[in-house]
Amino acid sequence: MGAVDRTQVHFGMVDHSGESSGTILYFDPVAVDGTNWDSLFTDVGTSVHDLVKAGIVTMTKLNMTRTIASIVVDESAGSLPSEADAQREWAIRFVYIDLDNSNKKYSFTVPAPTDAVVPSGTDVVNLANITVAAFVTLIETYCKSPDGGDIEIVEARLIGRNS
Amino acid sequence: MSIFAGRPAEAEPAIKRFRRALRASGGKFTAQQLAYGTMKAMSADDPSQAVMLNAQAESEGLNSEQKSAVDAVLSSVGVR
Repeated sequence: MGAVDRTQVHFGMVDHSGESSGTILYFDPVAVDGTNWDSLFTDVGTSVHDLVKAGIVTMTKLNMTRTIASIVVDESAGSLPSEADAQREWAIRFVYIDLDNSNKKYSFTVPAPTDAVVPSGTDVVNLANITVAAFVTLIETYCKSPDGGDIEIVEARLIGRNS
Repeated sequence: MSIFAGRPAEAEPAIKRFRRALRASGGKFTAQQLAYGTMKAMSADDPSQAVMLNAQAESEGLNSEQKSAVDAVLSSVGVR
C-alpha cells in the first residue's frame, strides 16, 4: 500500500438547535510508519489540527464537538461497475441502536444493494434474509455507535430519490 | 420499564444471543465464520431445511479449527 496524498479531517460542530454540522478539510497524508501523527493531530497547541481548529473557532458561532480524521487504509482503482442499476441514488438504510447509551438511534446506508437482498413488494428489507442476516452479524460484532457503544441493527429499508 | 424486563435470556432468539456472545467474546472471526454461525443460530430459531442447508453451505471451506471456534460461541448460548 503506497502513501496517500491527503488525510480528510472533519471538524464537528453543534448549532444552537442541537443539530450537528461541520467543516471538512484535508491535511498532509499520515505517514505509513505513523511518524507524523503527533505533529498532525496530538501535539497540544502546535499540531496542525490544533492550529487549524483555533482558526475555525474564530470563524464560526457554532461550538466544536469532535474532530474525525479519515485515514485511507485500503484503495483500489475504482473501476466502474457493469450493472446499469449500480447507482448511488438508491440504497439500503440500516437503523441501529446504541445498546450502551439508552438505545440512541443511528443509521448508515449501503448504496446500490445486490439483488439477493432487495425485497419484493415492499421497501422493508428482511433482516432474516440469509445474506442480510450474515451482514448484520458482521456489523454488530465489529462496529460501534458514534458514542462508542455496542450496536444492534433494528431495521433496514430501501431508500432512494423519488422525484 | 420494558415489558420484556425480567424475561429469561433463553426466551430471546438464538440469533440475538449469538450476536451478543460474539460481541462479548472480543474475538476475531472471518465473514465466512460469522455467516456459518448466523445460519446455525437462525436454524435453531427456525428449524427449516433451507436455513440448515445454508449453514452447511457456509461451513464448507472452513477448517475444523475455524468451525469449532464459532461452535464454542454457539454452544455458550445453547445452540448445538
